[in-house]
Amino acid sequence: MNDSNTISAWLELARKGNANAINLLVENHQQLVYSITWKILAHKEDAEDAAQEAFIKCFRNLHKFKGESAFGTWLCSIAYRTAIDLFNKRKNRLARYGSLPVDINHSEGATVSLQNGTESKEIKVILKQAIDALPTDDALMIMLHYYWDMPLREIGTVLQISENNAKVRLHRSRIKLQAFLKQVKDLQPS
Amino acid sequence: MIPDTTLDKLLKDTIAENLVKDPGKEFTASTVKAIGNMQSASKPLLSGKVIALIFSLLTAGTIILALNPSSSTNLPTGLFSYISLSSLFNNINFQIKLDSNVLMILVSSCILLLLQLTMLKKIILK
Repeated sequence: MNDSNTISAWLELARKGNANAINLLVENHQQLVYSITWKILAHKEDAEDAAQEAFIKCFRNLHKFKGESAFGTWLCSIAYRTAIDLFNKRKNRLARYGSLPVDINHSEGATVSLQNGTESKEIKVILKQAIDALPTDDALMIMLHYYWDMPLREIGTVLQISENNAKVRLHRSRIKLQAFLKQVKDLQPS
Repeated sequence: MIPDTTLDKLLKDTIAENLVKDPGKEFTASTVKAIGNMQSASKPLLSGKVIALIFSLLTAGTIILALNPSSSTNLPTGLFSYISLSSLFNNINFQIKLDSNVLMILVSSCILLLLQLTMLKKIILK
C-alpha cells in the first residue's frame, strides 16, 4: 500500500477523470476490498461483484470524500456495506463457512516457534479454524487489524461501531481464540 | 496460554497464509472500464454553470428588450423565444410605455435574474 501523499495525488487526478490514477487506485486497494467482500460473501463471483460495485460507488461519490479518514478506510466501509447488502439480497449463507483458498504468494510465510516447541504450522491450522468459527464481523476485524494494520478507530468506521466497541470486540475475539487454542491443546495426547 | 506477542504474530501469519488471492489484472481492467463508463454516462452535455449562464443571459436580454423593444427589430427572430415575443410586439406596432404589462415583465424578469444569479453563485462556490 502506498503512502497517504501518493494516494492524495492519485485522488486529485482521479477527480479530474484521469484513467491512469483510477487504475492505480483500484490496483492498490483491490486486494483489501476483495478480502473484505470475500470474508462476508465467501463466494468468488459474488465477492468480485461486490468489490467492483464498491469501487464504482466510491468513484461516483469521490466528491463527497473530504479526507476525514484514510481513503482506504472510506473505501472499506463502502465495500463492507455493499457486501452486506449483497449478502442479505442473495442469502448466500451456505457458502459462508466455506474454506478460504490459500494464497500461494503467501504460502511461504515465516513460522513462529512456540515456547513449548509445538509445531507452529499445526497451531496455524487450528487458529484458522478458530478464526473461521468467529462471527463474520469479528473475523473481519481480526483480519483488518492484524493483517492490514488498520487502527481500531478506522476499523470502527468501517464496521460502523465506536472505537471502544471495536476495542472490546477485538479483545473478546482474542480471548475466544486463546480459549480455543487451549482447548485443542488440552485435548491433544501429551 | 500463548503469550500475547506470540498470538499476535501467529494471527498475522495465519491470516497472511490464508488471505484470499488478489483478484488480478483482469479485475482491475474491468473495474476501471466500469468506472469509466459510469463517469461518461453521468457527465452532462452542458455543465450546470453553462446552463445557468445561458438562462441568465436570456433573462438579461428579455429585460433589455422589454425596456427598448424597438431595437429588437434588428435582432434575428425565432432564435430565442424571448426575442420572438419582443418581435411580435413590434409587428403589431406595440408602443412601449411603462404600463402594467411592461412593469410585470420587468419585475418577473428581475426576480428570475436574481434567482439565476443566486443559483450560479451556488454552483460556482460548490
